[in-house]
Amino acid sequence: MLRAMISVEVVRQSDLFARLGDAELSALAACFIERRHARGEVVFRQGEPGETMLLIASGHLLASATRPDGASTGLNKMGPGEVLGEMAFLDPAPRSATVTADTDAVTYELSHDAMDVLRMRAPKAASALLNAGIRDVTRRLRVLDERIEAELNRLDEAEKAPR
Amino acid sequence: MTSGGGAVLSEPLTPGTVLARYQIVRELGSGGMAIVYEAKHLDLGKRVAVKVLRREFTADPSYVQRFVLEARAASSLSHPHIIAVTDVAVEGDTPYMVMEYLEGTDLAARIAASGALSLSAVADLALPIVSAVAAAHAEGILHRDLKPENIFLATRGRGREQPVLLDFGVARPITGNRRLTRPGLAIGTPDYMSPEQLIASPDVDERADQYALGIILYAAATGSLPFNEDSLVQLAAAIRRGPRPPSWIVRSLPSQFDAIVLRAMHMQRSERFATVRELGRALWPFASGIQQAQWAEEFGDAADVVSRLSVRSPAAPLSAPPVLRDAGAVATEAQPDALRALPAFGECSEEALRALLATSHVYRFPPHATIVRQGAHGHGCYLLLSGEVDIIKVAKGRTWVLARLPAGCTFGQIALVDNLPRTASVVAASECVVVEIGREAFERMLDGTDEVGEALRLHLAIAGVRHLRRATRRLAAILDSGQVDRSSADARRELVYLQTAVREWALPVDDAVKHPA
Repeated sequence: MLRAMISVEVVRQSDLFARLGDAELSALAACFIERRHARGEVVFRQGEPGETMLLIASGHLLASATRPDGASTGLNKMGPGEVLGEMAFLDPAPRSATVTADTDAVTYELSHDAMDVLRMRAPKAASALLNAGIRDVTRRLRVLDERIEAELNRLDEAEKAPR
Repeated sequence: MTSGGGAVLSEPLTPGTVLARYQIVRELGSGGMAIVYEAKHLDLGKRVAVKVLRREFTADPSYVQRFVLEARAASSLSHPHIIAVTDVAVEGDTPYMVMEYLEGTDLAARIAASGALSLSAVADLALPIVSAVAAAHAEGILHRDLKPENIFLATRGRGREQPVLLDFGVARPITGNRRLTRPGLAIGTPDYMSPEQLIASPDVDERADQYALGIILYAAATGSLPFNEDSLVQLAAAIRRGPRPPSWIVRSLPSQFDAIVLRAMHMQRSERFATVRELGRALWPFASGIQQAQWAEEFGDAADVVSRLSVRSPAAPLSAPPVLRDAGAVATEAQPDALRALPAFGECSEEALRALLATSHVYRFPPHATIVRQGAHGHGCYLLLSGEVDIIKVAKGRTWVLARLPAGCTFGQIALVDNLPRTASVVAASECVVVEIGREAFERMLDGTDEVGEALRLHLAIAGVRHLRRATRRLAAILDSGQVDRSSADARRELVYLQTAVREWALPVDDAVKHPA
């Protein structure tokens, strides 16, 4: 893992920060730490304490999770501009998935502690992060809501079906 | 007015047809008397709307004359909430008028899509329209066909919606109502017509417009018409029997609002308000703070100027709002310390919390009063300062008491973030004091970079993340237990509860249903 200059342009290309001005982007970029990952390297493991958000600058990462019964969930592949761990960034908690580098990759890491710095130095960036967090949570809750609805419908079908 | 050549125009007009300087682009809509098109002003390149009298009326000079005269009358009205008529002309023997092009939707479509609007939303859109109608009445012009289809919710400027009154004084015989039958609905829609218009009285005045405004208020606040009859005979009989008060349909509507609506749509016009401006004054207290401020001069009385000032000055203390959301609710006051007890605002300054209180309403609800009604669209989000509330849901024909929540909880925020209807009712379990933050204040807080906005964002983001994690775990546990596969009643209860909890973050996800009814 190396420390290096963070590219403001890379940060700008992420949907999350696309609307920020130059000054805000610079303040935000100063809070990131660059991490380099060789192909196959584990970026973080499920169950480890998590409190950072990662922005993929280059390369691809793979996320996978193991359920309590031992079954494995599908793999989720993510590429440049995508963000992972934004929930842990807002509210530190054990990682819900193991993430490995699918190719050589560069990520920009933002730790939970940086939020306080951001709120002082780049309040719009801090707001953008929080709003993105709220939107993301809302979206995921809606997905969950649809899953529950599907299960309720499944119950209805099961009750209607001849025994 | 200009007069064109003698060419016979097709109906509807084909795109590309040119009427003087206006080139037809497409048809926007059609009514009984006229067809409205989008057109381009050839010199200015500007989009306009062109309303063309239907061919079947052009043969009768009295219709043509009336169309032109009334277009002139409408163009003489200059009001921000009346559509601007910029030109009137005759092409061949077909008269048309040119109007400002508006984007948005009309009130009828809004009610059809969202059902009943909140009381403050109804008042907010009624005040500009009442002002527009009053301005016309001052010029001696009646509308005669007020209905939700003629109230356009235009997105002008920065995307804020503005109600705009359409079809002002367009050719329409005052009396002869030969087309006045369903389903034609050509000349005036009977649903919104005053009894005196229905009997084709030659003596129709401003109070007929007021009657229609009353029906519009009823329809917007309840999502349904006071009289929904198939024939004019049945309609007349229903009017004689009188309507059900709006609060019989939407129980949270206060009795004062019932009284206003029923007075405006009284069968005897002598029993209605003396002028529509008086109707506006009666409605003014129900509008949101911002709209109250905007219309204080026209509809508020002198004492209300004080509350207008307090709305504009965020540091001013809360003045008791005159609006009562529920017949049982009483406006009250709260101190910043009460807000600081909530997790979201623990670290906010007194000044910031005073600003929040100045743009919110605080209510005291007696036990059993309904604070939020399942299925309604959001008034705002709520902070429970004292007391306890029950979360009650009706699902699949059964009533579930989902949880009892203590002081300090917040509820209703998801309806504001995501604009979903309320998923459960919230009923006071004991006497409750509640801060209601309206949609505008809520959005301003989320957009702003001030301290309270930041605190609320942080609270919503973190509460949301935690809530999502718990809900995801809970769903996995229910599915893993195999209850759903056995189609058990327990599984249904758990899922119904979880679904509500997912939408209302205040509910603890891990709790089981407390009192299955």
